[in-house]
Amino acid sequence: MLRVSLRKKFIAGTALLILLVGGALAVLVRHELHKRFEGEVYKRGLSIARYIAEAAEIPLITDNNVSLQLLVNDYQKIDPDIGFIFLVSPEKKLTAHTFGAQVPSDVVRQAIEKTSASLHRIDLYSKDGLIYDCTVPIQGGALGYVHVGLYEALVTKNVHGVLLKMFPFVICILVIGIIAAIAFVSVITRSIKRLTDGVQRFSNGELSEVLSVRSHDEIGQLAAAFNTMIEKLSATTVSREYMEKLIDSMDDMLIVISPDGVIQSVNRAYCELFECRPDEIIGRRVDEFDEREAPLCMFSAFQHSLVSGRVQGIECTCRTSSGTLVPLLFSLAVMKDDQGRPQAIICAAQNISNLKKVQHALQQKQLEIEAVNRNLEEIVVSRTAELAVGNEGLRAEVAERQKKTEELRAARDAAESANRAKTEFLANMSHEMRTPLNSIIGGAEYLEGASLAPDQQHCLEMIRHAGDSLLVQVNDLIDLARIEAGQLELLAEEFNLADTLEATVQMLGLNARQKQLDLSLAIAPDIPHFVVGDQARLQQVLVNLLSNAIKFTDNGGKVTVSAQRGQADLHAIEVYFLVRDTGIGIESDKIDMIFETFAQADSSITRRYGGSGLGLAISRRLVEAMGGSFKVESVPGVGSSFAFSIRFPLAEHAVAEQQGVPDGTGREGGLKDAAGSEGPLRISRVLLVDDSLENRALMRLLLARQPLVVDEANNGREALELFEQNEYSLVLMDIQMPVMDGYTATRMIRRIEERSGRRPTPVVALTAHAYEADIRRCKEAGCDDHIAKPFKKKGLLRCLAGYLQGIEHG
Amino acid sequence: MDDAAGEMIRVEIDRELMPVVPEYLENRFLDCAEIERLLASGGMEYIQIMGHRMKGSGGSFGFDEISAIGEALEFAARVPDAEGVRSAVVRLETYLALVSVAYI
Repeated sequence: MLRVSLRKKFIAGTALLILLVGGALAVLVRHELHKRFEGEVYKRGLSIARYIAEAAEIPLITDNNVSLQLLVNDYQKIDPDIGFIFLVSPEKKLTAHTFGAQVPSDVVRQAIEKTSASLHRIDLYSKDGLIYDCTVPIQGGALGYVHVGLYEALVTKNVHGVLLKMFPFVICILVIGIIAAIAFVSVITRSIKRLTDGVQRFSNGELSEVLSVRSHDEIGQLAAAFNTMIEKLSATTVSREYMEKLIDSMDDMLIVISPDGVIQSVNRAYCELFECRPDEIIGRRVDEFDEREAPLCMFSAFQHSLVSGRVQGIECTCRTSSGTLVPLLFSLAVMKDDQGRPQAIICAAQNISNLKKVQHALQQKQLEIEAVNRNLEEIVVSRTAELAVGNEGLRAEVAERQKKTEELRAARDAAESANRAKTEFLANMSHEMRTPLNSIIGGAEYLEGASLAPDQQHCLEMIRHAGDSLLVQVNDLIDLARIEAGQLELLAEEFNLADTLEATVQMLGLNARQKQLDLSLAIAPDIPHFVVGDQARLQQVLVNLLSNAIKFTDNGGKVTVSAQRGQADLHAIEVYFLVRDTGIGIESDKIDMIFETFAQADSSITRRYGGSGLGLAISRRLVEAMGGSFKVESVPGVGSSFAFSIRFPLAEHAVAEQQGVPDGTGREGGLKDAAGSEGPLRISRVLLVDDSLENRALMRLLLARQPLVVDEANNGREALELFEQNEYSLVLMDIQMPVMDGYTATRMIRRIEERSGRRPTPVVALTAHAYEADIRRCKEAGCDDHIAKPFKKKGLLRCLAGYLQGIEHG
Repeated sequence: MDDAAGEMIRVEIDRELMPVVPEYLENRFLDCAEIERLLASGGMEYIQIMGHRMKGSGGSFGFDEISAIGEALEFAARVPDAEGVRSAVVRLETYLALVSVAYI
């Protein structure tokens, strides 16, 4: 069948329609024109016949036939459209005519027969065509009739002339109509083409693209309806390609069979197992398959599924083209149409080789477990018997241990009793020794005024010196005995803290000057003067530390005593005391030893410097009894720092001082040397956070000569604990540390400050991460500054000088 | 300041640091053995930390070369590049064997 496009059909139809309408119009116009021209020709013929009738009256009356003939000839010559003219007498004979020699007798006869008395037109038919005979009577027919004949061809000629003039116009109309039809059809067919393409894409499974027809006519509405349909289908339908991919991606085999047993499709897993192509399988009947192409039991299962609708969990073995036997587990299901008729049978088969292996292995394991269980039961019986024997042994051992514990407890009680007896003995003996010793010293003092020989004077000084020394040691023993016996009683009396410190320094100033030591005292200006505590015991501790510092510092060295304000409220204040020297120092592993009774770091020290070794032990116990804690930092060959803190209740008028009310004494804190001169130096407390012992030791060395108290923390968490307990002028924070790194610790410090309303403490990061990003990260964590590791002393001190007073960095 | 004199490397260090320098160098000797042990047990993460610490401390004690070795060690452990770590250890052992400290 000839395929003609809608476009061509529409254009042809439009052209045909225009032609039909044009043809009909042409026929109508021709008819009307013919009718009109016919009337005009008739009128013209009658007019001519009337003229001739008037002109022919005289010649007819006079019977002048020559004139008549000339008359008709002249008229015919004047108007060439006239076909003929003839005159008929009343007797119906031709009197004149223009026919010449051959008179058309049939025409003349018809004319004469149809002639009547009135004016009329007669249609005559001749061999040359239709003739309009216009007849006019002369004198009412008394003289005859004039017949003027005009051929219809004249009318036809005029009609054709008019029609010829109309023809180009008609052609134009036709062409314009066809062009308009083409344009119109193009618009329609373009939309239809888009619609067709869209449907084509849809049929290919492309549901993502919508039609782009935007017109609002019926095609536009159709496209919109189509788009809506695609949209709904996209939401509810998956494409064939998607389904094929889905089926091919399955590891299980899938075979679709028509109800009459013809394979409709197979998936990739099937083709891979049986090493075939889909086109080799599709279209074949299931009963044609051999064991190398499908499980043989599949056909009977297929028949069964047609009857029962579903067959599940059939295990069978098939042989692949390589000859391998493969165990399969397959199921069949029937897909039915709306009327319940089977459309297809879907067979899904799973390769269960691995499952079979696992099943086999499990069976083996089960057997092994059963064997082990049997052995285990035997072992349990055997072990139960052994444990029963062992329990007996354990009971005996427990009883033995209880006996030992009782013995140890008795031994401990005996030791404690002996220790108490020792303490009581020491206390009693010390008291007993002090009485005769006071007598010896008193006697020696008495003899100082006597006139003695030089050797006797020297001997007396020795006695006095030995007596003093012995008295100190005896006093120490008494103190120690009291402390260990729990008999130490501390006073709670108001005293002037600054005066106590100054008195202590002055007390030992002479010893310092004798060794040419630079002894100085620094009291922070914000420490209140009057506090409540045991002045004598505080002074005892300070004297102990200061005398040790002077004792263990070589000539020309430096000893500093300082007091700093710690945490305070309206009723109490914590004061940090620091005694620092540039003496011989203590090895780090011996620092703990110096606080033990009767111990010094080195026995050679006792020999060189003397002393019982009780001073520091008593000092620490006194400080602890006053609610404080002790801390020692020391570097051999560089010096030592002994620091302790005590919390004192404030005296009543010191509370006012604490609130900013001047007490009228005008005293200001500052550095004082032994001679009493004052300087503006202030001791700062710094927290050093670093997990490296080496780095901390290095830092201690580098900062030893600076007016600083340095607390140390091993990691960020320790740093936070110290920071919460104390106020620091600056924190030196290592970044990479275990437990808690420097970034976290700094952030936590900022949080503590924010929470407690404390002023921000400068935090300087110490890190070997020296890139811009690392520095930025430090700043983001809340660090104020950054010192890149490795650092040099000069750089370190220059940085610290920016935050702390009195740092020498030149 | 490092200064090669014959086979020995002379480093001048402030007398103030005398109490801590011998122990610092001794600890670096111990580090060599520790790194070898960690390398055998795959402890690259800790080697990286050791390198980082060495980088940060060497120059502060006056041994710029130890800082440079520490940086190489940290980088090799981060990669991780066992050969690079071994190379850094050999470099450290050689330096420690040749270094001679002069306190000024």
